[in-house]
Amino acid sequence: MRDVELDIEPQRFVALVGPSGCGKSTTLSLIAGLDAPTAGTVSVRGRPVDGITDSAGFLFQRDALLPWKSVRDNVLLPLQLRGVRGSEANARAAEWIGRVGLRGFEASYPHQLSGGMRKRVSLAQTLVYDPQILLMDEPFSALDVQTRNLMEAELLGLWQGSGKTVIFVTHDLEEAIALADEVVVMTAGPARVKARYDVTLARPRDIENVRLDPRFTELYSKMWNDLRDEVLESYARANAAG
Amino acid sequence: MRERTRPVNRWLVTATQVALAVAFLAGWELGVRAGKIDSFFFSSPSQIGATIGNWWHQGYIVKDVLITMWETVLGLIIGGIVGIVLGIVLASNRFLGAVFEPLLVLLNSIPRVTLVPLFILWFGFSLLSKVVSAVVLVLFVVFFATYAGIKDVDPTLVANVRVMGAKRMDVVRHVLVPSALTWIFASLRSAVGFALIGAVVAEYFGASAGVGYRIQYSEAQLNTSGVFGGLAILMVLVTFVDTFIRWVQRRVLVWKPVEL
Amino acid sequence: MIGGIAAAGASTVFGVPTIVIAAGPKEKVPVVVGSEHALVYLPWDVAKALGYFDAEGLDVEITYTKGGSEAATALASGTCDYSGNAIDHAIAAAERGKSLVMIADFMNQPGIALLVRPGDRDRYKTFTDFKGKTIGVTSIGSATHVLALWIAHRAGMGKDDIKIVGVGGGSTMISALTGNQVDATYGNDPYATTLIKTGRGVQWMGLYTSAETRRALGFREYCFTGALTRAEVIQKNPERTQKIVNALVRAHKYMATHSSAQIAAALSDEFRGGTPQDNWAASYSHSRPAYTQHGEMSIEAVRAVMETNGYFLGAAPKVDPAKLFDNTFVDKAARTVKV
Repeated sequence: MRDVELDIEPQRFVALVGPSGCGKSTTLSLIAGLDAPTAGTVSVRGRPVDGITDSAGFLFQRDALLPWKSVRDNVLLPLQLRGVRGSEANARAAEWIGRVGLRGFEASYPHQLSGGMRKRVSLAQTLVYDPQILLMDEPFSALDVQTRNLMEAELLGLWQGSGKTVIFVTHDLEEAIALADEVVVMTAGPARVKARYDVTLARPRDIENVRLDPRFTELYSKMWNDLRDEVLESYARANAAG
Repeated sequence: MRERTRPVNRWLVTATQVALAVAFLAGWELGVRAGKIDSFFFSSPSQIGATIGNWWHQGYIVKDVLITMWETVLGLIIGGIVGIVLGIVLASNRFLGAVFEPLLVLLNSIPRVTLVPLFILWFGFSLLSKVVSAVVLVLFVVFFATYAGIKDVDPTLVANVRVMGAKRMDVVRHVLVPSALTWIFASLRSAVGFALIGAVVAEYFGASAGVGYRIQYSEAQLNTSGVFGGLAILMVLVTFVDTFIRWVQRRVLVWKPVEL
Repeated sequence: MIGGIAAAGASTVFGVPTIVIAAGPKEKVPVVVGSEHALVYLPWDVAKALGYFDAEGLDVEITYTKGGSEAATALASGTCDYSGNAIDHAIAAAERGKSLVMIADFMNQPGIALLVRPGDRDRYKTFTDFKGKTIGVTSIGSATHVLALWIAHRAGMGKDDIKIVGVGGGSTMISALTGNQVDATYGNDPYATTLIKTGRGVQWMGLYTSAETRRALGFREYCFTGALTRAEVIQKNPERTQKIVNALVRAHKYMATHSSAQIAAALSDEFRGGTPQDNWAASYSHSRPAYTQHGEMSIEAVRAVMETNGYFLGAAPKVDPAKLFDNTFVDKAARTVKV
């Protein structure tokens, strides 16, 4: 990444799109405090990031559940780490397991669940401690299309009205437009911000049918032009190098 | 038409194993009785059985087995703990790991069985030299497994718990150690054999009781039956301890998908 | 062959032991001896060092093992045709159906000592004071082990009243005692005398003379270490067996007619096991009373060993003692061989 300037307003759902390897995931880790920039600053809520960012949640593309803990113990873990114990912790964990639709699976282990179910446990694990910022790194790209649509709808349902800020990385432009208030297009690496688009589609969004809205197609065409150039540029560089 | 892969029939497997064992023992016994196999060199199943029976009556078996088992178990526990702790420390602290891991690789290349007479010299003929010999063999196996198990941990899991608020010790406790446990258990099962080797070899070089002692005593008396008898007892011991470890493993690693 | 006879003749004429290389290809004979240059097997070393095997037209290669039982195993399994070990192993072999025969007995007293640390001599007034203590022997199951239990038995103690550990024969025996790992140890020369001379041990009991043997063991004579072979080797190759015994008897006669210092000087550093000459000479003087005249065996001495082994094994050995030894070779050699 180089020369990325990005201001994100609170309580907005922002999608980051761009060709593979352009640094979208790196942006997320910088915000989370998992990585530090070699030059420049990252600030959250007016303060520079130093160590793990407070009140941030991260949903990974790969499976990040601890395989040796049950569903319940996985969801309890962030509460444990933050000093929440006993009946309060159990109650909050139970509530969230229910909200993601997995009541009855508390004692199961990750290997006994399907990919979609595991993603839902991860959602519960991330949301149970009520982080103000949600960072999502292509969280649904490993799922099949039907499950992905279901998860997108669930995510919106859980986010709507919560006041949380979401930064959602994806290479799927359709997904970005369907979910977000704003789409940021990044260039091929070293990355810069190429363009930012407001998505004015009405909320609450109907994931299944939003793609049929004519304004959806309009937005898509505009953004796709920008994105396609970057994707082609990225391929060209890869072919030259390889 | 696709062929279904049928799972292996458990009963058939066990039955075949039993049949092979019986055939082997029968062939051996008959070979000796027919004069084709010299029992001075190879003994025979009946003679070995008689020897073990004789030892049982004289009370040797309980005494020797308990002593060797005690040495083995102590060596396994101490060597295991030291190996695990060392593995955790050197795998999670990059500086210490870079400094000391190559040293352990170097030490590992010394055939430690040749050090046993030295241990007898330093620690005498009592329990200590046997336990040290066992520890030295166990330690390296468990260390390298723990080290690799922790290095092998999925970085996504570590990142996830860190964002959730985990500090250093939390990461070790909730992610690194459980992740390494699969490797650790696998290494413990082979470490049992090593612990037993350490104990028995040390007994061989200087002891007044134990299964290794009993084997050496038999050798000195040109008693091949005794040597094989001792070996048979050792095999039973190893099987026993191994079964126990697998039992523990099944309970601790309950989250693992079952392999067919 | 002719050159060999001439060379042998020359050396006898001058009476000076010389290394002679007999002309013509010599027969290779591997031998396994159960100790590293301990004095209990000295005739093997003397015969080798002074070229007596060469003079008989034999190229003898001696392999030294940790203990007598390894040598006996090598003999019983056919790895070698001649060995140096104690007759106890022949008894054990006979129990397993292998017939080993002693053809020369080097010692008719044990030729070993019970050693303790200098400060401990007064702690043990009689043997019963060793009750519950740890005593070292060369190796578990060895002839020394048999003796250790017999001596305890004679003192009225049972098999479990003392703890026996194998400490080896040489430096390991010394360090076991000085390092406090054992309370006492049996040892043979030259290591026992070395221990005594360097002040790190004292002799609590010696088993070198007939009187000492009678007091401790209850026997006048005790057949101990020597040269053995398999019964079938005697049948198949009596000439080669005679040659081996000739060289060994010649060594006995040499030892009988020369002083300790002379023998020490004639042996190289390797054959003295690294012991310096004066220590070695003192050791040999210490052990001297235990040697036989020319390797002869007596049924009485063998019966004594049968009895101690019977106690050790818990049952009397079934073998006929007369089958365990054969005097014909040493008798003939005693008549014909000159130093």
